[in-house]
Amino acid sequence: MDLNRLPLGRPSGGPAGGAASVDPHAEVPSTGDAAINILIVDDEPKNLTVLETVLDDPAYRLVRAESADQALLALLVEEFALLILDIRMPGVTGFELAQMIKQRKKTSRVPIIFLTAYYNEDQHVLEGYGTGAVDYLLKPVAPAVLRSKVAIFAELYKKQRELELANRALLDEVSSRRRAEEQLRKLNDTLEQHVFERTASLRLSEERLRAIYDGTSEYMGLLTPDGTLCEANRSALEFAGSQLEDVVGFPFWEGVWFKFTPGASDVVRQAIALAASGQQVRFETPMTTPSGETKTFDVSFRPIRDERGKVIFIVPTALDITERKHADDHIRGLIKEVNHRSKNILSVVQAIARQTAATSPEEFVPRFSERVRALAASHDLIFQRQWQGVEISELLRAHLALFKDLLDRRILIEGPPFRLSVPAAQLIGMILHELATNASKYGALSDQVGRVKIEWGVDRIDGRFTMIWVECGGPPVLPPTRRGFGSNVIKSMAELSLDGQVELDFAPSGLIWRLACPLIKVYDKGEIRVGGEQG
Amino acid sequence: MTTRVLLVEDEVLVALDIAQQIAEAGFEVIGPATSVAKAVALIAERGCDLAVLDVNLGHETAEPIAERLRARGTPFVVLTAIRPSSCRLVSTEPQSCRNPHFRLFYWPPCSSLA
Repeated sequence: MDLNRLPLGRPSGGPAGGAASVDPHAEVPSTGDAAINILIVDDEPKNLTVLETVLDDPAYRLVRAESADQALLALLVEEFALLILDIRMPGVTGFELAQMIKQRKKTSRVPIIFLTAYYNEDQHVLEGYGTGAVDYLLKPVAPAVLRSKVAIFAELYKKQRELELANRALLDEVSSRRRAEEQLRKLNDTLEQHVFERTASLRLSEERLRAIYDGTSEYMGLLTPDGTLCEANRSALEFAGSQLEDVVGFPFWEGVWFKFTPGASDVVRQAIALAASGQQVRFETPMTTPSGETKTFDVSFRPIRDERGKVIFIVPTALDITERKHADDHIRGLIKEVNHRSKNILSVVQAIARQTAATSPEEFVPRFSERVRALAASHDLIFQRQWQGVEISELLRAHLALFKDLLDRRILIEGPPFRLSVPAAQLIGMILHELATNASKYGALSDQVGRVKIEWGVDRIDGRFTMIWVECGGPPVLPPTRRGFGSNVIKSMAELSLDGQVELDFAPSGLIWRLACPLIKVYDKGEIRVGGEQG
Repeated sequence: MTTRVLLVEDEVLVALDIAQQIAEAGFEVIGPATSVAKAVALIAERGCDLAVLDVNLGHETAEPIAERLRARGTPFVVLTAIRPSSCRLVSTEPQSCRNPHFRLFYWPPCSSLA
């Protein structure tokens, strides 16, 4: 090493100024501005000192190593921009060290400057490397050349560091950007999910409202305050036989709904004007449907306001109340009928009372009570059959209830199924009561052996109804001494009511009562066919 | 010659009862008739000097009978359970104020015919 070739006057921080001994705990500089680490390896400390002197620069931090071992140790703990390596060293030579360094992945790219003597054949070996990362200098080292080479490598390292930093920053940016994008994507997904869910729930609620709107039997729509139709539900469209698009956008009163009812259009127009002014309109009206039926509707025009109270829509609805109306009329009719019937019944009861009092004053209370009870029994039956007529056998059993132990034994009933009309059931009920009462007092049912046979039949060809009550086996019959209420009922009343003939025969063997009358007077209209076929 | 009274009443028991009362009061009873057709036939066949009419006869009213009687100049008594306002026969009777033969009875309660 030739100290003379060192430039004079160059400021120097002293032999050890810029150098540091190997310290495994030294911090690795991480920025491009920090001093650049250079590892100098020589077995001769003097040479190291010369290098330190030549390369004394605050930009460099020189690390000394006097053996291959020290050099490897330093390389383990620190990162170096450059190695300046003496070839001739005892033990491990510079070449061998360089090889080890090149094999280590972490240090394989660290540039190496070998120091070698001019005369030495090492030069050939060096040329054999032939790579940009390896250079060589001949000893004695010319300080300017060394500085220049080192500066180039330092600059290269620095650039590389900067590039790495820039690259890292770029990578950071890319990854943070990617993270941001990922977050954005997630946010977007969540948002989409929310939108999807919200849409689904809106659709569900819309479907439900639709179902109510279209499912109701009420006719519904939606109008703007000037009466233009915006919506009409399925019932309303089916009523008109129209599609929504055919009616939307037109004045409601021009709709098919009102075409068949004279004047309806004007009424609707007035109702819309009232509703638009904020009034609730409701009325009942008959209307003719497109199919020509006249029906009664409960019609309503209801104004819908916004939060400031302005009418923004009108909801017209109409409900077909025809059947309810009929039911109302029916009930009104029934009430009238009940009133009439109850007065009628009172008249009948009054007549029974008067007749009973006139013909059997001595036992008025029991006879009157029995007759009223018989009347009540008929009424119960008629009521149970909802005024639809009474089966004759049921009527018989009701009025012979007192003798039910004798039924089918001493009292025989025979005839086809036959339903009596309500007035006929009332009358025949009274007749049966009088006949039974008479039989139990004087006739076949007044002893233990007498028998009664009751038969009825229908002659389809003549259209006649016949009924017969025959008593036999009882005590001998004596004709009555006077005509009482009972005989009035079983003869005059029956003849008068049924336009028929009654034969009453007080034969000694037993009473015979025979009725013949037009079928039309006794049958319940619904059942003529059954009775006629079997009679 | 006894006065002949036409009785029109569709409730047979009531009709028999009234007929008995009319007879007991010393009149001759024509009928009782339970329908318009029967009453009209009886007027044509046998005539009458006076009539007692029930208003509602099942599904018809005694109005056509009243018209016949008016045309013949025969006085009649209306016997009804319904209110006069809803009884056309009564409310449209033109002679109701002047005709001394016209009287209105409510039934029930029963009014004496004697």
